[in-house]
Amino acid sequence: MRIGPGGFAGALLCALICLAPPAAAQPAPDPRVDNSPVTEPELVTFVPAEYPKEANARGLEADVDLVLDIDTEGKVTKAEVLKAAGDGFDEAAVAATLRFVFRPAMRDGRPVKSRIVYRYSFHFTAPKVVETKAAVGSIVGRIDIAGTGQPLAGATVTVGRENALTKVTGSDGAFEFRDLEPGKYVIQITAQGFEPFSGLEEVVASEELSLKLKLVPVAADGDEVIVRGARPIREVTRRTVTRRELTRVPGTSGDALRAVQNLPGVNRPPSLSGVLIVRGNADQTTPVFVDGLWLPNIYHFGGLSSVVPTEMLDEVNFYPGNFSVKYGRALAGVVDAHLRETRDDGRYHGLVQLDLIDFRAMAEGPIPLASGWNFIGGFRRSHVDAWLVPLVEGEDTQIKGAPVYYDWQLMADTRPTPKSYLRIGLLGFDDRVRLVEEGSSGGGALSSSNASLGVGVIYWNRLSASTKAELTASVARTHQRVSVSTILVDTEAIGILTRAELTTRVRPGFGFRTGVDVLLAPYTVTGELPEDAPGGQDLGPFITLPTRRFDHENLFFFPAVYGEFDLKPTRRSSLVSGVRVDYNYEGRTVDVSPRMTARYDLLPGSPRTTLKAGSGLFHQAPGLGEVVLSDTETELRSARSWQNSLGVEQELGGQVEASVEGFYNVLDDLVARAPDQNGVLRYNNQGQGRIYGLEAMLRYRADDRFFGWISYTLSRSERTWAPGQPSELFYLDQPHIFTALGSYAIGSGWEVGVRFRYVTGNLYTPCNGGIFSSSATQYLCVSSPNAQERLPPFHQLDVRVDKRWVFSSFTLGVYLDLINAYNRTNPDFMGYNFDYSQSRPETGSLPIVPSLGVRGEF
Amino acid sequence: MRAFTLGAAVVVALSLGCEPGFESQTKVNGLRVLAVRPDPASGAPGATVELEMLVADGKVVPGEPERPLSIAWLLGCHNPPSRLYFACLPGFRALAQATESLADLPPGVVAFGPQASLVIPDDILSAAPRIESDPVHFGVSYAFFVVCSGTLELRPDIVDGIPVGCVDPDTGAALGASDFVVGFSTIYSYEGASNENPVLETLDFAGAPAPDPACADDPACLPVVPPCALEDRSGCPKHRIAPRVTAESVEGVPGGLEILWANYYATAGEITKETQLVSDRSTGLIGDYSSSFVAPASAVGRVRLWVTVNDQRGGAVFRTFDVMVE
Repeated sequence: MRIGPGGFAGALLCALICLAPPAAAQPAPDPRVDNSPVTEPELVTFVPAEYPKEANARGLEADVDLVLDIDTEGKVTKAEVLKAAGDGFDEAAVAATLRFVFRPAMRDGRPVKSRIVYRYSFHFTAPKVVETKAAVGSIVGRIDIAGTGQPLAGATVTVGRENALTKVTGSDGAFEFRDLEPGKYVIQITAQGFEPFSGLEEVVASEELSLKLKLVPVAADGDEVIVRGARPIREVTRRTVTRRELTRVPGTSGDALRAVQNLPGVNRPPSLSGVLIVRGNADQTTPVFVDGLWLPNIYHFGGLSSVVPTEMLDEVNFYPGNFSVKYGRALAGVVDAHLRETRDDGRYHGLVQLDLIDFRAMAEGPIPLASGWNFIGGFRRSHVDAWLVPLVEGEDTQIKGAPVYYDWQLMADTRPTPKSYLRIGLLGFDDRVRLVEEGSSGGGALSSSNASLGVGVIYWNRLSASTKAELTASVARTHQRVSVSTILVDTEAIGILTRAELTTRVRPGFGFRTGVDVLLAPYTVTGELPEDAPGGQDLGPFITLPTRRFDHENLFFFPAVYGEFDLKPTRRSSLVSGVRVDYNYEGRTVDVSPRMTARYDLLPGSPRTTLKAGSGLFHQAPGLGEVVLSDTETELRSARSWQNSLGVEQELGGQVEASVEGFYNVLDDLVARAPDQNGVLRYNNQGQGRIYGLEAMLRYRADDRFFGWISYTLSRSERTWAPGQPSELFYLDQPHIFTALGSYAIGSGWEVGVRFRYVTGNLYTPCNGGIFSSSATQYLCVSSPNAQERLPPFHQLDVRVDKRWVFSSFTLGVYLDLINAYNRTNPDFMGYNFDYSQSRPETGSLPIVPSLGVRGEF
Repeated sequence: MRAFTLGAAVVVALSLGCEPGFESQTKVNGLRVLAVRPDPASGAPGATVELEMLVADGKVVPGEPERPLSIAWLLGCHNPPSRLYFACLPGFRALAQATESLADLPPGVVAFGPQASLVIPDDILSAAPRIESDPVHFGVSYAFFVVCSGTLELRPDIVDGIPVGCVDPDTGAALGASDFVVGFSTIYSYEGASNENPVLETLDFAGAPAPDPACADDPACLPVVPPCALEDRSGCPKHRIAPRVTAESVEGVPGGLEILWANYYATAGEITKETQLVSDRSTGLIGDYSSSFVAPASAVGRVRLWVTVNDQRGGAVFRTFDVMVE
């Protein structure tokens, strides 16, 4: 027996009880709780309870009083019977109220937790006979807001063939269409501020088709990074990390891009290089984009911190492979970070943070005298030089240094119309390192500086319910200078990036996207480099390497066009197919990259089981170093990768999901170097390879209490560098990569997290002793051709503890990020003595580092 | 090329002093070859180059009788493919497979003792590949050498090195790196140019001329330095070793001046700077390229020191002298 919503009424009996800080230093989950007046929670989704069978048979009625705990999303987290009724009514009422959805209690415009007393009344009514015409069916359903589970009220649902029917969802997000003739119906759903939906459904006579749909908000609200981990649309795999996770992963000091390194498919980078290695590919093959624009320098030196602060990010999407044609010039994967919109609450916000590595400050709020415009600005400076230099400086010490980095951001945005968005931003950074080595062979200095300043514009407009246009553009000047003793490389470039894209839904089940993506970068590279060929001179100790000056000036021009369509042949399946055409001005080559992905819901609904597959070509032009150092007779082509993947995603209920994916990539036209008949090293495209493996992930999606995941990658990466040569393992091959991490909010503002990583040891070519070159006065390593051995494995435990205090007008947080908690000396390379008669693993990783940080924000 | 990173600097900073490194190459406590001096420093076509090896046996107390060493040269590799030394090895291996012992190798291919004569073939230049990027056309010859405190034997089974092994004559066991040295010397032949060995004008120790080799056997001739037992070695006196090369040692080469460097070695104590640049490519002679000797903690008696100066085209000069630590 089911009870319709109109069969009985619930009553709110008691006053609201809010979980609020009674005194100044009381911790609370919501950092912006204060003593302002509170708005009561409002029931928006009522769930009818299952009428107890026996009670129904006896015609019994009852009232059940319950105490409900409601969280900040309006979900009922606990239902406790206050006054029992018996006869199964209590259990039925608890089961139903746990599925209620409220508009949460509000304090000063922010949702807060609450506790209410609720009476659930059971009124017996006679069974309702549903008369349906034999020749008609119906469509009923409910529309929720994706990522929140809250019902979407006010959405327009149109169902129709020749004569369309239209309904608007109520506060419970529900809709229904009765007496529909059997057949296929197009269903379209639109709502202000949400991505439109269109689908094709079939109505069967005498049956009620029940749909539960989710609309995706166009823009994120509040400071929550959008969680889109549910279901990627155009790619085989898209992994996202929420804001809560980004700021709490142990061992990363809250850096968003370093958090990405814990996902399946990401290799451990060489010591502290900060590069992104994906699925056994070389570095520099997984570019990082910010709002679709390529960011060539993503980390400050050492990989300790990325150049974009986490607080400015909206979401970070990681595609380990088989990504959309929207992205190009990449052989492996893609990271696309999106800057968030400014908060449009009319208030000013700020934060200040100080930790072991750097100091940062940020401010945000409305721009005075510019109605509708908001700004966000940030500044960061490292202060490692303050404690590092005194630590190492001394008469007999070998290293003196003064490393420092800065970065700054200033952005302003507005919504010219409700359907458009405009942002103008300024981003810059400056890294400087200078090390002078004394007392050992050499006596030279090493210095590096890397600075960039750029301005960018992002504009998008929803031209109609089915069409969106987007334009992004940026101009940035970059100057990088590296000198090691007599060796110098000085690079200056002006990068101009533009992207124009049009996305449209031609008809239900068929969408199309097309775009132009242009990179234009005039550059100059000058400097002094050691000669490759002996040239009648010997290679003595390092500082005596003969060098030759070079000057290279040219233009990188990479225009590209792309187009892809996405089909939904059935409700369970989707197919995305596209092609990208890139032109390389330097090499005068055209690269055509067709790609396709497919998804099929084996078991739709919840828990969902989805099969996924993808195949496609990916190209990447030679890098700057290869272009500059290759001789004029050699014309290098783009390297190419044919990527294939097959996998399954499985929802396991609640917050838990799992995925397994196999991949097989074939590489060719890789840039290699080989000596010609005269011993002169020449660049060529003779490199080939293959990479294959498996990625698995078991994840608990973030909620107020806990987040975590276990990821495992099993892979093999092989290369052949010349025709006829035997295949060898690529130096970045890491067969096993295991990560387990989690963070738990234990209450009272405390949160504790741990991360454990295990990675197979790095490959190295062992030296079987040394041979002394008297002309160079140094020993040379003697190794067997193609010999490879592995260092001991890497493993490390990181622990993070956070404590927050909430005051009336600001919050204060303290954290300890204990990196390498058991002080493991992880080997990164094999070190040898001067004649290669002795060896031992050497580390390039951090020892135990207690990174303490303090943060205040309002 | 990668710049040294902040992260690596942090790692270095946090690890300095935590774990001892390998022993410095300046400490000679085993059998070593420190230099080979070719005379002339470059070989004209048809010329004979005399090779002189500087052997340092750190297992013998200076002043004591030297232990017998087996020294052999493998010669005859000229302009190998790609001008790489290891391209000579297949040829030597083939010879080793066809020969019973080292002594049976053809004359001109093998020589014994710390000196050897290398004959430069007449076609050393005409047979050498002409490469545009070479500042001057040249040919290259390689002279391999092995020094063993035991017995040398042919080892055609060695595929990644010289096909010669060194064994204990009593047990037949292979001797390790402290008793067996394998190396090679590169001799250049230039078209229209030549190289001269650097010339050591003076060599001072602790402010006075280093003992002349002629009076090396007379302990009274040797400078005396006290031992230093300080645990913090930075507080020990530093006895300056100051070689001076002649200005003519710095020759002109295409693109600038010749690069020279000095290496310092000792059988005991420490050397503060193991390698010093003597002449820079663009500025020429450096003002000060000295190093210093720090005496060991105990009065060990005689300590042997070596100074070698090399140029970038295979030229070399070296001096040996002893000091008394007592």
